[in-house]
Amino acid sequence: MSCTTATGFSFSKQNPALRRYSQRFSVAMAAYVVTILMAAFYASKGHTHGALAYMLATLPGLAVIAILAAIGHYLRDEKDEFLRAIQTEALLWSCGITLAVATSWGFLQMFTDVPRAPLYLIFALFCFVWGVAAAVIPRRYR
Amino acid sequence: MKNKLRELRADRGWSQADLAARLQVSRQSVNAIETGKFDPSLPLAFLLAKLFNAPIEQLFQFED
Repeated sequence: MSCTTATGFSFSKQNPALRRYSQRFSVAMAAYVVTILMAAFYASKGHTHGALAYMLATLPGLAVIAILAAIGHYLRDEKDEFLRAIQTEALLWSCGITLAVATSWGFLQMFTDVPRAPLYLIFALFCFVWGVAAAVIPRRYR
Repeated sequence: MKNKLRELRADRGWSQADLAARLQVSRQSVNAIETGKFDPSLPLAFLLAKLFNAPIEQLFQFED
C-alpha cells in the first residue's frame, strides 16, 4: 500500500497536520492488516456463514473508512495551501482513474470472459494511483 | 501573475527556506509562488505584502 509514500516533498517534521495524519494513518493501516488476517483466518477454518463471519468480514472495510477519514482530516488540517492543492489534485486523479478502471473492468467482466477482479483491489489501486500522482504533480512546479 | 518576490527576498538576504519559515509554509510553496507557477490565496498574498512592508500590487502584477 503506498498511501504514505512519494509526496515528492521533504515535509517538515514540524508540520502538525502531517504528523497527525501519520499517526491516524498508521493506526488505521495496522487495523486494516490485522482485521484482514482475522477474517482470513476465520474463513480458512470454513466459517463463511453466520453473524461472526459477516462481522469479521466487515471490519477491514471499516479500517478503509478510517484511512479515508485520516486523508480527509489531513486535507482539512493542512495549513500550507500549496501542499493542500497538490494533494487534492492527486486525490482527484486517484478517484477518477480508480473509478474509470473499476467501472470499465466491470463492463469487461459483464460482456466478455476476462478474469473476475476482486473488488477489494479497488482500494489498493486508489492508493497506488494517489502515490504516483502525488509524486508526479509536484514536478510541474519545479 | 508575475511577481517580484525573488528580488525582494534577495534584497533582505533571505533564502527560500527563511521566507518559508516566516510564512509558516513549505519551501516548495515559496518556490512555486516565486516562479509564478502557483498563485497564492489572498490571505497569503497579504501576509507576503505585510512581511515585505510593501503594497500588494508591488509584489504581484496581473497579466492579461
